[in-house]
Amino acid sequence: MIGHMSIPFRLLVLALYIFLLAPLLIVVPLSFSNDQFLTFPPESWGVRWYVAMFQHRDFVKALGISVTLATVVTLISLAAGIPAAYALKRFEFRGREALAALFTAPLLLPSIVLGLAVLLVFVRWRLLGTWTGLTLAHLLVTTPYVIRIMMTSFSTLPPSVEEAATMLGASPLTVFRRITLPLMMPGLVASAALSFLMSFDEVVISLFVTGPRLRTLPVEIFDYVESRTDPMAAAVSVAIIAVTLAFIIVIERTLGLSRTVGKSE
Amino acid sequence: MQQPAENRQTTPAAQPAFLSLRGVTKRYPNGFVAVDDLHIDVPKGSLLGLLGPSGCGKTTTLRMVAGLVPIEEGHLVVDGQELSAAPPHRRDIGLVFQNYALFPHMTVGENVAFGLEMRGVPRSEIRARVDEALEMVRLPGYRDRKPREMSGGQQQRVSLARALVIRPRLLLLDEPLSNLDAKLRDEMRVEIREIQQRLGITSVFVTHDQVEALTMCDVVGVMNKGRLAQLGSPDDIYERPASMFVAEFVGRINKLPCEIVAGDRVRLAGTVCRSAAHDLPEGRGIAAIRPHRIHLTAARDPNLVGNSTNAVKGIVRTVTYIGDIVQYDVEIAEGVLLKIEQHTQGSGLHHNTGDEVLCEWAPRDMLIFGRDDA
Repeated sequence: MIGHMSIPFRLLVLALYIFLLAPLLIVVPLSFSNDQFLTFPPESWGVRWYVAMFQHRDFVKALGISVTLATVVTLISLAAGIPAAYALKRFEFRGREALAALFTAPLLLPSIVLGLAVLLVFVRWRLLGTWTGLTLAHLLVTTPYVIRIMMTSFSTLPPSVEEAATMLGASPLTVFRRITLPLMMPGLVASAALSFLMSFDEVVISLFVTGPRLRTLPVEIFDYVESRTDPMAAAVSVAIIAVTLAFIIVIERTLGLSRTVGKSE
Repeated sequence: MQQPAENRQTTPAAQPAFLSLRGVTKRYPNGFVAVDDLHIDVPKGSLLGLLGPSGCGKTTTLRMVAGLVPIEEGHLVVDGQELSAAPPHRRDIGLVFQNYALFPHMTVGENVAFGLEMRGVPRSEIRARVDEALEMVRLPGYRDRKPREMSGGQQQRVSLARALVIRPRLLLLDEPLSNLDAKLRDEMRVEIREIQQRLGITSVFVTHDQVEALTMCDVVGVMNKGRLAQLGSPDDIYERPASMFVAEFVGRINKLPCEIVAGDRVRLAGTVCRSAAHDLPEGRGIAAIRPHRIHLTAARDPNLVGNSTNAVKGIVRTVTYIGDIVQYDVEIAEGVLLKIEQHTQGSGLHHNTGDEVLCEWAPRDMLIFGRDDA
């Protein structure tokens, strides 16, 4: 595709990349600073803050919470989203379009609006600062993605493909194992990965819902940066970016993320 | 007011039925009857065409034979075996879909091999049989391609090979040509028919296209609103339609109100004509004549025409030149237009608007239906 771009367009793309990646150009060097305070460029270099990060109890605890939360949220949003997407794609019923729009509506709302709405409701229901509340809030963000991706996934799988396998002698279980599952696998992996990352990275809504004893890693970082001015936040950020990147690369290598999230063929 | 009894329901020669539908009915909970008491017998090796407008029940019938729609009323017997209750994956029936329904994550070879794997055929034999099947549909060397790299016509051939490689007892084809463009459709029509005859496999072909039904099938069942409107050879269906519905569905036809005089005589536009029917009760009826069966000549005295043909005078109102044929609208009485098609004979030889002409047709080409048949 790049071969077809005109020179001004290439320059524009380059500028956009620089704009998007500029924070990295600051954060990555900062994370390898051995200074006591955030100064750019750093005066001394080292991995001091990476070591400190793992010794920082709040961060380690928050990391555990974030990973647990992201895992639980992913499992629930798959369990809820896959059947919902299947029903929305395969069955004809009244209000199907409206339901599909409703299920994916949170995608369109700014997270600050969602966060505020969640806060107002959760105050009443006494869900603030609880696992239940945090999980529900994150599900609000991740489930629409799962539904969207799985709907695309199911639309590339017409019922006749499963019927064809049946006619060739495959039992219902074999049809699921040999046809349905492999064909929905890319969508499944993509929505699981996206759901995990969305939950793991979520800051805005989490800020409204987390309590003093239950804080996710992004919220912990946010608080830390507000009160402290040492480069540990940079080290944590780079660590998160590295994990996310590794995640994406693994998926891209095994399935091709652009293909699974992208259009149907 | 029907066609003579011996001309109706001419099922092909009294060979024993290989595929037999007996009173097959599909009722939906809301009371809608999609398929209504169908009785069809198909001899071994024959190709049955189910023809009808969308929603007539032809696809539902096919899916009931396949087992994808359960048979709750009536019986399906194939080769002497009752199959009504058998699950679809145990029926040994090949099905070709309109949208090909190839497995997109498998190669062409894996697609074709799937049914053999399900049957536990040994690997070495699978390879040979897959190659043989791909050869049959003229796609040798395509086994490592992915379906998405192939054209629609090629995908449909793979789908045919996949259905046939398991040597099914029946082959079902659900509008297999509808997604292809016109030229390819003609080719595939010939090819499918050729393969079907070569293998001698009893087949059911669902279509809404009368040309496909008439050109490919040994027996045609025309369906309307869940019922079988007529079952017969293509020739029967076209020349001796059992009802106005069938007559209209299988080709263009003039539909004119007439008055039945007696015997085989009817009065059309003031002229008494002889028709293919006999023993007609007096009353009102509908005359049906195919446009290309009417012969158009320059006006002369109708009485000079022998009484073996019908002749009606008229005035040419519109002329449409198509190339191989010319279409005329001829007014034979106040507001009564007759559509006529004539093969072109060379330039300048056709009639012009306003010309007085004589329309002639043989009694056997004039079908009479009761008004309620329409």
